[in-house]
Amino acid sequence: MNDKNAEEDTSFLLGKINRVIHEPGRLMIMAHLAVLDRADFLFLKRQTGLTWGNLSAHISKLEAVGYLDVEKEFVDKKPHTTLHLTDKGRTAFQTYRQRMKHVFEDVVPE
Amino acid sequence: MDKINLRDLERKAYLSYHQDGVLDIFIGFNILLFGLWLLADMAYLAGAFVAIFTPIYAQVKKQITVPRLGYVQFAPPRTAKLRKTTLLLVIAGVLAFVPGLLLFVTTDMGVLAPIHFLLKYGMIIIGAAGAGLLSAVAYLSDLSRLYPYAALFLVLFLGGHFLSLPFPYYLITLGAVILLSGLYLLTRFLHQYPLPPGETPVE
Repeated sequence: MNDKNAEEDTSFLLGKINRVIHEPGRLMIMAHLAVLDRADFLFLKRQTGLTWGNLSAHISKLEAVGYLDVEKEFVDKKPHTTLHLTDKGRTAFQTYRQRMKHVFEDVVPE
Repeated sequence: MDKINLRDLERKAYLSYHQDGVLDIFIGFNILLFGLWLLADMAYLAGAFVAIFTPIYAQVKKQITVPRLGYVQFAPPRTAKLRKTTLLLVIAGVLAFVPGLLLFVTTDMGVLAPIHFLLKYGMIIIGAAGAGLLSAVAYLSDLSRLYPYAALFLVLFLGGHFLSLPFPYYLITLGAVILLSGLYLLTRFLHQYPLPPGETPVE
């Protein structure tokens, strides 16, 4: 691969990185929900260390693009909100992982 | 760039859910109570607490842990591991019951030969079995703090082979140590995770 091709390839790959997931706060939320079946706001807050405001904003964004589902239910007559990744969100996260791995292993030199 | 290890992330979330010491308190309390009941010649009551253990444990987690740490459902690989741990405990319970029954029946029938071995090396056998069981639970559940309890179990009962203290004393000592350790963990957990003020967003 010559220099020009490598440069184009790098730009192409970096341009294809999912910017919704790439933001650190959202990446933390996605990573946690990818390994857990479901969790509520408080659990995610404790695990990620984000503030309520940040967490809420990131979750709204992820919900808006269809990466996670916010389910409201009543547990012991109290409202309870749980979050889980949708199939679309899970696929997007896997694709993001593979792309980032590829970028750092194959394109960006040591 | 640091790696994001998803397995570690899941493990950290799981361990944070069990850092409240509630499990330790229940294990310690159960062993302590068993020792006390043996002292009072009421060992048959030991099963009563084991039977109500699961609902009480679930209720305590719901009242103490979830409001402070949040609600989580772990993914199938983790729940499968927990099922294996439960199965192991059930098998261990059955296996412990069979020699006990055998001992009871053979003593009643006056057949002393099979119980000589158990009586002579009983403390070592119980120590090894208890330590082995706790180690297996620690391994399956990823709760490494159970290993020191397993070591203590072994040391206490090995020591008991050479000392002549009544059997319940070892159980009471072991139970008290585990219970105190659990209470320390619970205090730390309550301090580290106070109840969040007000409602969470969007709720």
